[in-house]
Amino acid sequence: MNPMRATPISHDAGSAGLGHILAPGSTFEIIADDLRFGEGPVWHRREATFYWVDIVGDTIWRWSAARGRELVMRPSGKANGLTLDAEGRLVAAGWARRSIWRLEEDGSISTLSTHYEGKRINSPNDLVVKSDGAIYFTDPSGALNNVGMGGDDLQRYLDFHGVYRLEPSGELRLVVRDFVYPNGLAFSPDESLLYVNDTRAMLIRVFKVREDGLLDAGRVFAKVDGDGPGRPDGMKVDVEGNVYCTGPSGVHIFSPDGRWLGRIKVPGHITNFSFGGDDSRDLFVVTQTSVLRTRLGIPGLPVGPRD
Amino acid sequence: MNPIFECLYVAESKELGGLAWTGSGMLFADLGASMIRCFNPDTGKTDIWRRYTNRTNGIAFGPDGALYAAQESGRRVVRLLEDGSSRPTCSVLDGRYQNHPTFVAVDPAGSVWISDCFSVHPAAGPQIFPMQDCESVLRLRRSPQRPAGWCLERMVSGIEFPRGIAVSPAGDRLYVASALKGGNAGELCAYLIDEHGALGPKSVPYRADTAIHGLCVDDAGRVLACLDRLHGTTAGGIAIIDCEGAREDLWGVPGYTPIQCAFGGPANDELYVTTRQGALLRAVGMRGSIDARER
Repeated sequence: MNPMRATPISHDAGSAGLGHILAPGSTFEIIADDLRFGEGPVWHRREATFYWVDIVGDTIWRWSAARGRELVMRPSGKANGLTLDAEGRLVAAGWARRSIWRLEEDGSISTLSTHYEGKRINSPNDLVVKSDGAIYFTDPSGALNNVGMGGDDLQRYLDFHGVYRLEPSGELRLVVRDFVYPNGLAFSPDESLLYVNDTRAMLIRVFKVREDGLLDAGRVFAKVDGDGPGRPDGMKVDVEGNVYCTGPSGVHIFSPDGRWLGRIKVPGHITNFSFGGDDSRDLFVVTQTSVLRTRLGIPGLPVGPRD
Repeated sequence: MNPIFECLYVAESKELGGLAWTGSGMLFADLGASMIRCFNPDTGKTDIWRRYTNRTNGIAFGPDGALYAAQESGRRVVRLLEDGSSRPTCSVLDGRYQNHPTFVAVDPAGSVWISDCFSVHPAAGPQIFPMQDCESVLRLRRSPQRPAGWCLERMVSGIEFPRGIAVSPAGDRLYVASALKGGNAGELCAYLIDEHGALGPKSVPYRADTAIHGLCVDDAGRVLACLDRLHGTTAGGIAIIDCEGAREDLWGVPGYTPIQCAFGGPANDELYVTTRQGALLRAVGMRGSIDARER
């Protein structure tokens, strides 16, 4: 277990400010600082445990205040995004495994999806579970190209980087196909909207979710600008509907109507983050090399079991 | 006598590289489009053979039927299989990923020889993996006892900007083109390969006052070397060098900078050339001047 250390947080703010989200004088605690490429953070409320991945390290880790840091899985098929289903099971975007898979209670893996219309999907990056049990995930081709991140077949078969809805029945439905590089995704509090960011286009799009789970044509919600390391990657929403998205130099926060509220600056190259803690007001930030934690003034939307 | 080159295809990307004959068509790497295209001499048409090749440059068929592809952006050599898949090999050497593989050659035993360069093009993905300490010639071999089933070895270290690479038909000699002085000079380096696969000392059978790019070897063991430009001109050329180092001929390729050359055609008497200008060229009727079977 790494000894906790603290580092001050700086931020910059838009006209509406960040005062109700980040208290002055906030600090980051350092939970881990030895990662090769951190990603995939998710808080498990029932277990009071934080999970994340090290893609290049091919490992899933977890941390809790009670037990410290523990190894969950290695190799992990270079798992990327993680979330929880309604039963509290870990569901993974299988980056190198080119699948969506679920970790069962007995430690076995259930593969939930691998192909679309007979072709192997690209490399699932991030995912979110809707209350109806469907899994929405992004499928860029990064793992097929990137150094050190591939699996057993590096060939891309699909001519688009899709966003999918995986039905509880196992049917895979393409919901958006015109992204340059879709990455993070998150629902609004009432699940009427789905936000999906585009790493290369440096923006966030928002789509209305229809009753059948498909999406409307969508529109650009916000552009994510700035200097420094980091791009649109991980994305989450708080209980007030504010949208948090990784970007240059930190976590960029937008109001529900798309106004930039400000940025929590993060040292290093941020990749993703998660809300956590009993009250969902902890913010766990993952960078390429580290896991950090701070406190927020507004709870984030929790994931996983509703109890 | 200078052969006449005809232009068969011009790629919009203007960035062509490796060549490999399939038995019925000539594959050529379109780096800028991340594709491998295929020219069919029967129809005169060029089609896409493989998409999403991650800046594949050098290509060569192995005795296993796989096309070995040097993915510059992926910093690896992959095996492109007939079923459409792309399988990894081994791309880690001394705990680091290799640099940017440029060209490949497969010897009769199935070993893959790789020119491994630094590049101005960043690799795909996060830039978190350090380069090797030097540019090298690497050899990739099957190694069932290794976890990946492959073994990557450094065979020549400290070579400056290795480009073209070729192995003699008997598999007993390795040729490597090295670009010197920022591309203003070039060396053709040769190494004997002994029966255990070890390399002998370097010899330099040919020097040029321009960069040497791709290489190929004809059936007689003569090396064809793509020259960036001929002395005193802006035109590229191809030098033909015999095994002992004598230059037998020098052909101009007016208007083009040849990047790679390879023989093909049903009678192996067609010389294909990719160029920096994005053109695929062909000279036919090479029998007698090149093909050993005429001798």
